[in-house]
Amino acid sequence: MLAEQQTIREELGISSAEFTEMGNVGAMYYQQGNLEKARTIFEGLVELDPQSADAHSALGALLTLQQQDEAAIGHLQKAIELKPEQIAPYVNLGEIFIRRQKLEEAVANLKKAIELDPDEQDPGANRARAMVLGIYQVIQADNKATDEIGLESEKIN
Amino acid sequence: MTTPPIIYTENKNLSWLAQAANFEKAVRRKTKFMLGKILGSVVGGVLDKIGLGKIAPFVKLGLNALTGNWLGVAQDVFGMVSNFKGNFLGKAAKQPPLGGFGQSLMQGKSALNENRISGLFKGLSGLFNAFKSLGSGGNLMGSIGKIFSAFNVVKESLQNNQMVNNRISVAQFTNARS
Repeated sequence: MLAEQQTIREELGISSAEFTEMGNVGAMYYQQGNLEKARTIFEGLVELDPQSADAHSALGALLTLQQQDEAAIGHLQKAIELKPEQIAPYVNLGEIFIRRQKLEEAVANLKKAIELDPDEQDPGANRARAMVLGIYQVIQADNKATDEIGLESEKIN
Repeated sequence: MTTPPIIYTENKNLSWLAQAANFEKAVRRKTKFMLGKILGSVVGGVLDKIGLGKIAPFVKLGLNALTGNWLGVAQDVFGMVSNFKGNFLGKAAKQPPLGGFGQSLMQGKSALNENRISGLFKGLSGLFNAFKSLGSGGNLMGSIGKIFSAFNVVKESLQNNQMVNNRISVAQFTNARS
């Protein structure tokens, strides 16, 4: 019987390397677009170890892609609670909040992701930058009528 | 490049969008060179480039729905954009990033193999039977069911990899002999 707080992963003696390798198999399926298999693995990993930030983050990302926002938010927030320095959950929460038209929450999450990657190296944080730039462009488009000063880029190009 | 402080005074007679435009101009005056360079390279739908073209209308609706801290949002957006350094778009994830999994490709000896997975199946079956005999609730049984399914997919993937490796070995052996 499982002791209090003991996970099934610990009960089965699954090492960190083995757990990550299972996650990598899920990531491979995710990148190949086989979302059903990826989801099966990520859901299993969350059950194996509910304290794994990586498992919650991965399942949250997949649910973000599938636009199952309510379920995704729960896993992404859990991932942040377990590992606040992980970039991916902030990026995906940003995307969900844009979809839900909650710009303030979206920008706060995207900002956090960008701050965690000052050198512009992380693909997730760069996705956050692209979203911020997208918001910027929409604001600009809305303001074109009142905008008297042309962009330097427009002058150059 | 460090962005100098941006001085902006709120004008309550203007709509927030007009104020945002004024704020943007204040940002531009400080950073126009770099900002122009970045924007010049992304004209044509930055959201499309990361597979998010469909959410652009939501951005607009979200902006229209902003009633509270619009200035804070505008400051954050313009402040972030003015600090962008280079061509990050080429290095942006095209779908929601996973986090820790899939970041590093498996190198060296694999931690998992079919024998190990078989052992894990046996361990999980043991747990299942123990819980069953104790009359444990549906949640735990549901959890074990999901883990079984995950192990099955991992096992299938390992078998496929093994099949590919065997084929490569056979091909290499055949080439070596000919």
